[in-house]
Amino acid sequence: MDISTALAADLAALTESLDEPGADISQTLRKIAADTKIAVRSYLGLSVILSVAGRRLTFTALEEDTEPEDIRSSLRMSLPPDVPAPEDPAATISLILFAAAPGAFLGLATDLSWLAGDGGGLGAIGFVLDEDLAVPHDPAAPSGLKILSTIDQAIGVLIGQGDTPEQARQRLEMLATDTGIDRPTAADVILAELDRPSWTDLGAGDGRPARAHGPGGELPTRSPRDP
Amino acid sequence: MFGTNLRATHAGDATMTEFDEDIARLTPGLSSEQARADALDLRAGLSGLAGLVSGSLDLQELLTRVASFAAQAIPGADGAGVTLLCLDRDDNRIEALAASAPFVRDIDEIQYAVLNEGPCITATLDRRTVRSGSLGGERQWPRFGPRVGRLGVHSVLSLPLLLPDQVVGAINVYARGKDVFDDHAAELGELFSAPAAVAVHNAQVLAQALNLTIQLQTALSSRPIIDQAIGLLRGRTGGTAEEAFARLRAISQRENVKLAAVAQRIVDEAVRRARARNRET
Repeated sequence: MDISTALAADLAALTESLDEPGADISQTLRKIAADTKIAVRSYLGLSVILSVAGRRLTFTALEEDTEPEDIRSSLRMSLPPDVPAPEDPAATISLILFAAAPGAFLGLATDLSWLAGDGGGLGAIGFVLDEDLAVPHDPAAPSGLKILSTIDQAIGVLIGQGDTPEQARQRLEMLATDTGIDRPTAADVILAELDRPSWTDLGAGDGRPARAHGPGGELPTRSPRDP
Repeated sequence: MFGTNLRATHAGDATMTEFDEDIARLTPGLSSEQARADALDLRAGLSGLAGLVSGSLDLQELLTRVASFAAQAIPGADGAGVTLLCLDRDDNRIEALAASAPFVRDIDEIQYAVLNEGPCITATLDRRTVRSGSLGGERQWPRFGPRVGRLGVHSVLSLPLLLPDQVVGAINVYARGKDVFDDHAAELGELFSAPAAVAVHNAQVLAQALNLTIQLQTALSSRPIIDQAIGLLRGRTGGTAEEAFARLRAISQRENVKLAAVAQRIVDEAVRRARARNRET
């Protein structure tokens, strides 16, 4: 299984967030690949599409020397939201398996739906065959986690400056709008400001770090108020 | 691809007649009544494989259920155990063990942990069914046999869990009496173990897929608050994201509190101050 450097970094970060001894998401991924390959000899790889709390994460890991054009069959497993997270009913998770041989997943899909049964709480798993023959995500591209992390870290910085989370999001949005950049870039700007000496040197005297200052597209100092 | 094997076992009543005939053909000397009873037991065991992956997704529980189905399906069995091998390792390390009864667990302990010798190991390595009706004097396993015989268990039937390209584990079936497992029992055992191997393996694929998605969802749910706490710490004291994360982790370990909970607390405190400040102004 070929896990790109960017994906490996994202999976390591997610494993850290999981904070469970012995858990390794990358290892789980490799195990699924190894076991699926035993079940379906022409297995070529997998994609995961995850949407949780409005955040979307997508990644693909193909077997070595596999090209997306080699894919001739697929099995998408869509998990019911109540299985992974009852507190987030809007969550959607799809795991898509790919193989080279047409119809390769027919038997496995039948078996899995039978194994899941109706009474085990997994009956709502959706199994869709051969509708995902195009890889939904470039295997070499990052999953999107870094962008999400950058935005959240910037929001954390703004909260530390005295913003509520709502104000922080608005201020980030405002910075992006005012300077004609997108939100991730605006978040990068906020984080880059942390490395500037003026950031802490010009403290507000009340224990809070000062807001960014001066000309040149720094953070807007007007902070929206809570309603 | 081996899905066909498994599908063939969960056919409806219409195929059961053929199934009974198959069993009768296996052992022509068997009375039709006995053949019918054995067929029903085997069918019940195989039917149990349906719905194997329950909401709990616990591999141990899953294997215990397979062991119970095996004990049900094979005539004369007093208990059964299932051994699963770790396939992504060259040394075929044992990944999981499960037993339908406590005495089976004790025997498996002797086999795997104490002696590293016994019928399951032979069945797995040789990829063939092995059996003994007199374990106390069994020459195949000179240390295992007598030791288990002294426990009052004299018969064993070990069935490899075979997939087309490899062995994924084995089922051990035990009985206290001597010479309990004859050719008929072995054949029924093989009828059970073939789909059981597929079921166990496919159940693992499904359980791992579910495990992956749960891990990802849990991680993605807690990542935002962790990142916000990282940003907060960086804003307060500078440093890199890695350094801030290391500080969070240190607090988590020191206080024995989950990382996400520590992050939530830090962010909540800051938000509380921010709201108070907003109210003042």
